[in-house]
Formats: sequence, structure tokens, C-alpha cells
Amino acid sequence: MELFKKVQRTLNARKEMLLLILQGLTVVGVLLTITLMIHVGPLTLFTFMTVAQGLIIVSIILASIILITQKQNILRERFGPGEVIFRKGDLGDKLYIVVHGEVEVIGEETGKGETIIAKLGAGDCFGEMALVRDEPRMATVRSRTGVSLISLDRQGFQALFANLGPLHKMFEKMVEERSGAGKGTDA
Amino acid sequence: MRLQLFFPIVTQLYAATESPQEGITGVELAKILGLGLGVLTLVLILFVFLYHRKSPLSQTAKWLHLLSLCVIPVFLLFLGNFVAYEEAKELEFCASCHPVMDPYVNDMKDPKSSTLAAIHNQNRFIQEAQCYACHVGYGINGTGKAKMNGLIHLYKFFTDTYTHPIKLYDPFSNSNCLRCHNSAKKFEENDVHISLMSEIKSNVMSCLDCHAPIHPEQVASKQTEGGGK
Repeated sequence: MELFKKVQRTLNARKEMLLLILQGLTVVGVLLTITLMIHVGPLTLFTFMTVAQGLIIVSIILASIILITQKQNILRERFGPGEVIFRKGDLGDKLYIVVHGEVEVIGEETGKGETIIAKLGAGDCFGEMALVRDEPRMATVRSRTGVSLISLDRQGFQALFANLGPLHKMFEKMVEERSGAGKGTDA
Repeated sequence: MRLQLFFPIVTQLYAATESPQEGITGVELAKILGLGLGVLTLVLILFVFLYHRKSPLSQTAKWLHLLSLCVIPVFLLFLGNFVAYEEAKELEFCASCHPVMDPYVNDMKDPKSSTLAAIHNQNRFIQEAQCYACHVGYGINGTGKAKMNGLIHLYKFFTDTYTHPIKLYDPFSNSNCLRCHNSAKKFEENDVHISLMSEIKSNVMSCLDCHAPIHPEQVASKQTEGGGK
């Protein structure tokens, strides 16, 4: 979990830096406003009307945009028994890691109905093939028991790939194995 | 919801400005509120900086950011503008640009002066905002224009780019005089005013054509003209 927190922080680094700058701008703007409240003179009024107002308005607008558009790339998701996590053909935008519980990967072939391709438990991951290959989900995944998952969106997944070379290799190997064995977990 | 919260504050501030209760004016109230909100903003920013430095985008930190960077500053801006606009109307504020305004303000306070500005000021014909009362145009446009021009004046003062003697942007409008004098018995019943009423009200003839000098530089120019003759 610590690793994912680090990834989330890397993804948020720019926004955090911008927020820090906005905090600085607001502090300057507020200090100039306070000086106006203490003494209204030509200089305090002029600096308030031009500098302080400008800084505060810029901060209000940018901070609102950052805070409203801010989203978590890594989330904890929970599903009850028998719930579909994603369906074959869906657009793949997340990788899932099972924290606890069990999920089943279901293949659907015409005429044969549902076949269970794989059962995955704690520590297993699924959904990576759609992210690596940029294709729709190749199988349906359903929870067998109540499951707790960590989901990592595309942006988070790419950041993880970029930051951790061995992990990149591990996923490439996993994708090769799963697609070679016809055991795609969506995937 | 925010607007519902906001408007009573505006009404209270203006009400306090019009009729100060228990010795506190709207501007003073706005200054106290502004100081309080300013300090609160700084404290919140410092708190987030110190205690949420490792996770500035956590849920709690996001709410604190929203409060300190977005919500409170909106109120602070409103209070700052209110204080700035109200205080800038006062004679003392105009007088604070000393090199430019000293001759005008000194004349207004000079008991021997017979200029219009001095007569109006010393007889308390205008109770407050003595400069502003005559130098603001009619209606909300006039107020906006006066504020904008005031800001330009400040810029010219600080950059030392003003020219002396200072001049009006537009010819003086009679509406500034009529705001108080119109309907006044002394004004309405004056024979000269009666005969020229339409010209006065339509600005064809300026009040200042007969009622001068207004400020000391006109006294000086009149004396020069007299000397020349």
C-alpha cells in the first residue's frame, strides 16, 4: 500500500506544487489586505486594488479548478459475492489487485455458455491486458466471495510502469504468459 | 446558500454606514471582520502547510484548502473592496496625496478663503466625503468612473506622471450641484435661477459661470487676469 501511496503522490506532485504556490500567493494577498484594514492610505489602497486582488482572484480560480478536478488514481473498491466487476467488451481503464476474497474470470463462447477460465485470490491482479494493449476487456470478471480490491487507473498504471522498471518487465511477462496460455483475465 | 449568507452582510454593512449604531460604523465593522478573516486564512494556510504537508490532497486537506484558498478569500475581497471604496471617499484620503492635494485641502480649511469648496466645507454644507460629493458623476456609472479614475490618479501619483495643475477629465456637470440644491427653496426662488433654470438643468450654462472660484488655482488665475488688465 505504501508503494501505491508513493505513486499517487508522484501523480499529484504537480498539483501539490501548484497548491503550494497558490498558498504563497494567497498569503501575500491576505497580508496586503490586512494592511489595508489596518491603515487605508494611497499605497495600501493601490496595492490592494492591483496586487492583492489579482493574487487572490488567481488563487481562488486555480485552487477551485485543482480541488474540483482532483481525483484519486488509486482506490480501494469493494464488491459483494456474485457482483460483476467488468464485462467482456467493456473499455478497460483500470487494473485491479485482489486484497482479500476471490474472483473468477469467465469466458463466454457462443454455443458453450460461460466457462470459468481462472480463479484469482489475494495478491493476484487482473485487468492489466486492456491497459497494456489498449483493447476492450477480453473476459468478464465476477466476485465469488465478498472481495476487496485496489484499483489503479490508466494514469496511475503508466506512472507505476514509468517509475518501476522491474514491475514493467513483470507485467510484460504476465501479459505474454496469459495471452499465450489463452488465459486472459480480461485481460 | 452562499448568496443568502452574503446579502444580509452587505445590508448590515451599508446600514451601519448610513446610521452608525453604538459608535461603530459599517467601515469599522468591515475592517474588524476583514482582519479576523485575514488572520483566520493565514492560520488555516499555516495549519495545512505544517500538518498536511505530506498529503496536501487528502480529503481533510482538500476541505481546508477550499476554505483557506477559495471560500474565505471571496469574503475578504468583498470586505477589502468595501473598505477601500468607502474610505477613499473621505477628505482625509484625498488629502493623503500631499504634494498634489495640499493646496486644495489647505484652502478648504482656511477660514479666510472664499472659494466654493471652502464655503461648503467650513459651513458643513457637505457633512462627509467632501471632495467625492462634488467630483462623482450621477448614478452607478458615475461611481464606477470615479473609482476607476481614482485608481488611475493613484498610479499617476506613485509613478510621478501627473501634470500640474490637475484638471477635470470632463467639464463640471451641474448635476453635481443640483443633487443637493435642486428643490431647495433658496435655489428655486432665486430670480436668476428661475430665468435660467432650463439652461442650468440641461448643462447649457454651468453653475460655475457665476459661482466661482471653486478652488485656489482659480483665485490665482483670476488675480493674474485682473493684474493683466
